[in-house]
Amino acid sequence: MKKFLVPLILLVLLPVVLLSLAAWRLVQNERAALALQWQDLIAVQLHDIDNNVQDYFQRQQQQLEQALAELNPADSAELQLFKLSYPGLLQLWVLDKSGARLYPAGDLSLAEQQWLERTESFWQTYGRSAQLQARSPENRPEGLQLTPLQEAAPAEPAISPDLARRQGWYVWQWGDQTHLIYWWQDPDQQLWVVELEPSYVLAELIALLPATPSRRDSNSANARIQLHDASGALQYQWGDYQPSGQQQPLLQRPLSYPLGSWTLNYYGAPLNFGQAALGMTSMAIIAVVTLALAVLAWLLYREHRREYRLAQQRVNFVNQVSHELKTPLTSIRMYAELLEQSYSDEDTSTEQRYLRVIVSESQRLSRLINNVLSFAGWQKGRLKLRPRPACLDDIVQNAAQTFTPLLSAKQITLTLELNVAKTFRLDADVIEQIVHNLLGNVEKYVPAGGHVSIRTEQQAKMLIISVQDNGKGIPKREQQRIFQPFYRMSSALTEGVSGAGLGLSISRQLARLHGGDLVLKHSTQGACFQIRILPQ
Amino acid sequence: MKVLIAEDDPHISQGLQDLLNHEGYETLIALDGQAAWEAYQDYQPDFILLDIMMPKRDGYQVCRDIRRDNTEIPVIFISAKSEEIDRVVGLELGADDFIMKPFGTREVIARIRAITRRCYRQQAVLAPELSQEFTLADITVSPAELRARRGDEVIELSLRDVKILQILHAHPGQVISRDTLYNQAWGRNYIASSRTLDQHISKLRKSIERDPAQPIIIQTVHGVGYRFDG
Repeated sequence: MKKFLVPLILLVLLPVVLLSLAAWRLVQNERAALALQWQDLIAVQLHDIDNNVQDYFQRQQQQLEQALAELNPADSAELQLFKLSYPGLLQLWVLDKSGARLYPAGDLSLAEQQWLERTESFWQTYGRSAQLQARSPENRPEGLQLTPLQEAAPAEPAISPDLARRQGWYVWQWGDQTHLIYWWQDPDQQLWVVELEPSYVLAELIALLPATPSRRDSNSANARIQLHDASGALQYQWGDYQPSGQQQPLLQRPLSYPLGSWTLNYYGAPLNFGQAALGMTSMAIIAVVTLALAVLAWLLYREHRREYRLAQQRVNFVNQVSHELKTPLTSIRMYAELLEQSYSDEDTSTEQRYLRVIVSESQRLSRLINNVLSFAGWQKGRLKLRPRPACLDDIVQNAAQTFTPLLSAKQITLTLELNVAKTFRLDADVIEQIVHNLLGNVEKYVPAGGHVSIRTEQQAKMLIISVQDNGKGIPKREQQRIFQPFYRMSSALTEGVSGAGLGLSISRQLARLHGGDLVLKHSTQGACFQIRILPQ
Repeated sequence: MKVLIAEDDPHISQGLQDLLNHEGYETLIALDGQAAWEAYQDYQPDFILLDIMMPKRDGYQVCRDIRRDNTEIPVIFISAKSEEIDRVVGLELGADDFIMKPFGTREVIARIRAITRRCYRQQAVLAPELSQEFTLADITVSPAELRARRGDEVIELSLRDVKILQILHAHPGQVISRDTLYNQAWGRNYIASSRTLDQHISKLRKSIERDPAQPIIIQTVHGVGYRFDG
């Protein structure tokens, strides 16, 4: 029963384990898929914000270009008015084709000079620094060094200036503010440079940004978006969520040109995506499947146990009946043999003849019971050897002597050729049972006047007992079947002959138990059975 | 030689008693485990045939009790179930041999003779004369082995056979009367039919004489008894 339990438990556990693994993977994949979807949603959200910022700068660019195109670069007053009136305009500079400063005209104020110093990198980028020298060297602020006109690669451009383009933005960090310069080269090759007020730009940007995150997803209500400048300083944030000090953003996105050094950080609560619900559902399904499998397994086990119990009862019944038969049979056989011994061999009285029948039939019944018990033991896997020192020739001789009266009664002659006189560790009872079964078949199937010979020999480690008769033999088509339990050849030969069909099958099992085999050898006449025994 | 037969089935125990008596053994029957233990203590047998399933005390328990007292006495178990024999062997109760039911008389005799040889080998240490071989015509009889030999031929003998041959050998040329043979080979209290001795002598001749019809070793003196001429 234990052998059945293990595969049954595996039958239940294996699908449950596989199902659990599959469910876990499913949940993990779902979670990953939802996380990706959520990431995409956030990315789209940040992308929208970035687009808005880009749009703003596009509009500013267009507006500035439009406004500057209408100005007369030679009219300082107009330019001054424009500078003062244009919203968020901090500086306005105009250079002519040769790079000479047209506006501001004349001497630069201190503020303008300081501005130049601050924007030196910009001017160097565009190789126009020399033309901007508005003061004589003696009026130049101490320490100010302007590089001569040359092509200068940008040191660390905040944006990549496209010198082939006619306009662009230049961003630089100064102090705690981000400064923006817009430059435009008009059709006359005049360079217009404007700086926008940082706080004005920031205010304009903030006006573009929402007060709360988008409500497209239920999770986003609990989120926060932060806008950081190039130095990482927080410029603006919105949303209900409060990130902890060390918390990393769920997604980070740099803004597009011209504020590419600014970033949007998206913070949110750990996402569950309804994971608990998905996990509960999976567990519920697994529980139902486990229950169903367990019920099925229990039904199978119960059915198997019932069958096993029935089979055991049958086997136990066979065992019990066989054992109960043995006791009276012992008395019958023993008393018949005792009575037989009281007659001398010369006596041919009817009583002695009757006694011989009682003895031979009780011996036959003993053999049958032994075969049935051996078969039952074989079925239960409980056939066992009990080897002891014994001589093979003695065993064969004893077994043959038992059959001598029976064979003589049918005028079947028996010859022995015994060649293994040495002592080996053998189970004498097992070997005798095999020889008895073979001689029993000889007595049943060999016609009167026949002959049987038994020969023992040793081949290497194997001991061989050959039983050869001169009967009708066994047809080729039957030669394997005869070793099957309960099989009896149906032929004129066996018709009317009693037997349970166990002798050869159990004899083969016993021979194999003894490390050998029982085989039917080819014979020109009759049947030749060969018993192979391996001493233990 | 004394044998205790502990078997609760009266038919089997009686049959074994008859068989062993015929072989030349003294026997006592015990029909349950308690009686077996008491008989062992009182009877002091040379060996014991012990059934396993008996009332009052089973064979295992009796064997354990006997072994506590005597580790040498041979014990042969009788059983109908091979599982019980496995227990006997597995439990190492000290059984010397076992007989499975249903057994044939020859099987029992073979087992008993093997035990007897062993007992004789043990007793021969104390009484060497028991193991002394002797010759009758062309056979040599070994009492300790319960065998006789004629050249390479080995002849199996029962205890009673050996006794009869010992009596004849001890009195070469003398006629041993039937009563004397009865008394010495069967015991003084034995009452036998007239055919018992004759049948036994007839069977013994078949074993040891070259020509049983013209015996040399055991010669019949009609109306008196038997003689060995020496």
